[in-house]
Amino acid sequence: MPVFPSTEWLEAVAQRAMADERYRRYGRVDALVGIKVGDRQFRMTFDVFDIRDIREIANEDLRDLDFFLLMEPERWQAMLDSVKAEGHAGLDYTLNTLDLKLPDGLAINAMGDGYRMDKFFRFNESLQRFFDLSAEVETTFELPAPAAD
Amino acid sequence: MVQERQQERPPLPSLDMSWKTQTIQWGTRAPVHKDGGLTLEAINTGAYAEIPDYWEDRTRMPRGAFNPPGSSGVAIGGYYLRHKSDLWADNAAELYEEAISRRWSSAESIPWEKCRGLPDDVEMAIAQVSTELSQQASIEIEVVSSWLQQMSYGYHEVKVFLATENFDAGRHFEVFRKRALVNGGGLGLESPGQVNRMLLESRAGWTETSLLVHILRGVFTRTVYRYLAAYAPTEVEMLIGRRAAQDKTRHIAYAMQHIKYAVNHVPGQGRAFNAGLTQAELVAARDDADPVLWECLACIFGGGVRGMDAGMKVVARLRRTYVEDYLQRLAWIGIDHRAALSPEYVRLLEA
Repeated sequence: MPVFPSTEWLEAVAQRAMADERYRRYGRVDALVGIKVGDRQFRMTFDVFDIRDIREIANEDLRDLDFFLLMEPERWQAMLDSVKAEGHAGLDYTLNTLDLKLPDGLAINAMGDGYRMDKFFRFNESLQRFFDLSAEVETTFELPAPAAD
Repeated sequence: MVQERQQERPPLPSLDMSWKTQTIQWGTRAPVHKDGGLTLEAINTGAYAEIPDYWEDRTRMPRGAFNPPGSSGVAIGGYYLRHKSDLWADNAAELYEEAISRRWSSAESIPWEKCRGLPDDVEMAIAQVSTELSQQASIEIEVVSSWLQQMSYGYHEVKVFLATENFDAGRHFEVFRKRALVNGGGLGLESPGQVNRMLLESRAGWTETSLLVHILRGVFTRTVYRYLAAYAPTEVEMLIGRRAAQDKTRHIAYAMQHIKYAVNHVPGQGRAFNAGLTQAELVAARDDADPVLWECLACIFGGGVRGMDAGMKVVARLRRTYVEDYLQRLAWIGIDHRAALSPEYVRLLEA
């Protein structure tokens, strides 16, 4: 059973996304995306319909990404619980809603580059579908996700 | 019989075959991406990757082709935008492929049956907001298409991308019109239209027009789309807002790259834009003085007329988000506009 957050968990979701007809119907994606949960960071390369190069990275490597998603560990769990319960994110837990309602937003470009940050909006439906597909993954949580040794 | 017919055939004309030499680079082969196919960007290879700083030709001749004998490439009308700095953006080809791949149909992609049964006040507010957003999209079609014919074929990537923007704007026009009409609310008041007129009458250049239609107006429209999605009464408005915001972000992405390119290549342009934007914000402020859009958004965000006080706080946040996003995108372009921001916009930031 994949643990969140981990590369295994992201791989499990990515495999589902790449095989998902609806994900493909949303169209091509080109973005370097990260997530930050507690003290742990992960990156993914979304390249057309492929999702690859999924790995844990150091905090300073976040600056190489178009954007990364940052929330407190408890909110990550609440979002994924919402996805699990409804099969997709409820209105309060969509990426767009979280980005607008969280005091510091959800999507961040580490270098303050607004152009690269905008990829969060350009590919929003694909990213939403990606996280919605986590409903199919049996997830256990290891939070608050202290940094790996 | 066959032999007889062959004998009756007239002799073949002597062949010219001069077209065989008319190629700037024989043997050009573009890479095909495993998943992504053959893209517009990928065929810009070898000699075909050269994008000139100035395009002499004022005909419809494609870049990389040759004028036919007897044609001198003289003007046949239009195509006044021939400097690369007039329209170019490095991301145009990429955005074109993205737009084609990520297209959607409002008829099929939106679960229209799920927006039934809303209270009358919310339905009426949505119909009014939809009326204004639909009109904004129709203005965008007119503005962009009026400039397309002025753009020379030396920069086809931009022309085809803007063609997709028109298609997107057509979709936004119809999806909000459908939303206004699907539940019996119907169309409401036309917007005051000062900004619409400013966009339609912008004639200083395409770059100036793009700054207005994509950054001043476009960032605002995207902010409204996003808030509509976040505070949507039903799944219908949520999906419309999110998908329309994706499209709008592509238009903004083109403008950011293009205007940055122009500012970096045309001395003094950034300074002129800075002053022009302040004037444009004053025009926008006249539209903003009309309470209709804000009241309707507050009604939607607050869940009805009784919740409008809370809704107005969200509206204030929406307007602040807009000005922050607008300034941030201008800064990326190379226009530090914060000090030149109009007093009306400064007030929105401080609210």
